[in-house]
Amino acid sequence: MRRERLTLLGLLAVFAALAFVPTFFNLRFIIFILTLTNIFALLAVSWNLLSGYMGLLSLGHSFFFAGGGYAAAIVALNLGIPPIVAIFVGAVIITGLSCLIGLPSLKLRGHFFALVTLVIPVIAYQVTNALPQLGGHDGIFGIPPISTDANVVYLISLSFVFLGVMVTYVVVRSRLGIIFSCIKDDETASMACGIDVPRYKLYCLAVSVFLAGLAGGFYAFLNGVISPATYELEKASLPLLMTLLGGRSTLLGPVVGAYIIETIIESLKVEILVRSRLLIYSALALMIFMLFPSGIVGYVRRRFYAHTED
Amino acid sequence: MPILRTEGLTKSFGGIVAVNNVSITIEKGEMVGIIGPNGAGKTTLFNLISGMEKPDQGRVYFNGEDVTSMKPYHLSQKGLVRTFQIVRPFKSLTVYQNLVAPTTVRSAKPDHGFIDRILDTLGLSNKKNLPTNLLTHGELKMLEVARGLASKPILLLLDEPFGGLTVNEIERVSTVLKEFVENKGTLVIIEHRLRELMKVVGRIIVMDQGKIIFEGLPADVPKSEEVVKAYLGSSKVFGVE
Repeated sequence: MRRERLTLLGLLAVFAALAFVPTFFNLRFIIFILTLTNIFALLAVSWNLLSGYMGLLSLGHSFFFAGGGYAAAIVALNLGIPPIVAIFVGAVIITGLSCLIGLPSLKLRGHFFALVTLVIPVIAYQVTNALPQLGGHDGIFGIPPISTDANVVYLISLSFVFLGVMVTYVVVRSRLGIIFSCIKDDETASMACGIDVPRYKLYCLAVSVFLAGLAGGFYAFLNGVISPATYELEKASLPLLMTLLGGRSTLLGPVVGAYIIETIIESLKVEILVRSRLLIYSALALMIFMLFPSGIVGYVRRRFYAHTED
Repeated sequence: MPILRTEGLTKSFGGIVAVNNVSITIEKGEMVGIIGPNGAGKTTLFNLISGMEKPDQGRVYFNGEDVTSMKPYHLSQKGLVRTFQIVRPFKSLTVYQNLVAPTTVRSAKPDHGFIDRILDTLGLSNKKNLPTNLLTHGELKMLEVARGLASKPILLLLDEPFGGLTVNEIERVSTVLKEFVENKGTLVIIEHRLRELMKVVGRIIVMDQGKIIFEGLPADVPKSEEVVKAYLGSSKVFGVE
């Protein structure tokens, strides 16, 4: 009980600091970068729920991300509803679509699910490219901004991350948390214990896709444009890398990882490094696996809680 | 009405008939042992009954209801629970959480007193808050049995619960199993440790090459010629010269 309260207080403190410090200094460029970071942090939070807590490795989060962006943009431009509402509607649409696609692939075990998720963004890229109704190769332009005040946009993006972290917290602390752990550990034993494995996998997928869709919708409104390039592998590998670095199956791990990696990316904006970024990501991933298998938050938690762990 | 009845269960893998036209009946409150040489089809029979595999032919009735090809988790929720020969603990949960999990997934309140009693009898109380990777093989085997019992099943299928256990540990497992049956539970046990098995069960089914070759009292098992032949002609395994 005491530890739970500590966790919650810690969460609130981190988010309060993130809300006040950047807006206080009012640096436009940094605020834009931080808004972008928050979007990727939310995407990483979404990845962590599916691949960290439930152990279903997703290599296709760019599909949920870009799909959410497209759905939100189309809804906003055609129906003229306010951006925030459009983002939520877009997330619901992509959740429905992904669950339909996911239903058969959830029966697959282990690496086969990962392979399917790897292919889906590739197909989506080709389909979007070929359809003029979806903007074709150029994508959709003229998406209105959420607000003209960069500080407001930043604060909304931060509250989205907070929402994602709180959803994870509530899910993990509930009955679902134990069920997800069981499925991650052993599917056959879970079934023997009475867990309807396909159903709970679908629940987890739905929540994860919804959060990724929110991130994607926000991304579309932040940039004012969404194009098929959003389906690229980088958008799928970034949340993975961020979560592994920060610590998978931890609440704040994905957020910590997102802030570190975004900082590295933005401070190393040199042509040759940008071009070889996939190589750098891979090297970083290897380093994490060897040095910090449980991520930064996992490492710190072991250090601090080692003596209080029951 | 029998608690479990199978009718002509058959399952083949390629050219091998693993379970061949097996019909068994288990009455409520019984403790039945299934024995047989390796590859006799005992575990496959459990897989067919518990819904892990679909039979090619035949039907399974649990509590009078036709449950053939029902999903394993639905059967488990109905009270037909099985354990595994090769232990399958939930590695990211503690020993205690492993036992609470099968109840919480049914959104029911776990009976903490009951779980504590099981752990106590098995001698696992002092390890209940440890992660499962700190347990010995014998303790993991006992955890497997405990997890089966924890959700208070109607019928429990145990796949080699004594394998790799010390005499002392077998004693403890036998105690919790006897308690389970006294509290109106029904047990079916696959086991290779025959001497220990004979002490707890009231009836023995012997399988060989997918078929039932004997059904009856433990004392009568060594007298059956077919059984002796299946076990390489040695009646010593039953502890009777």
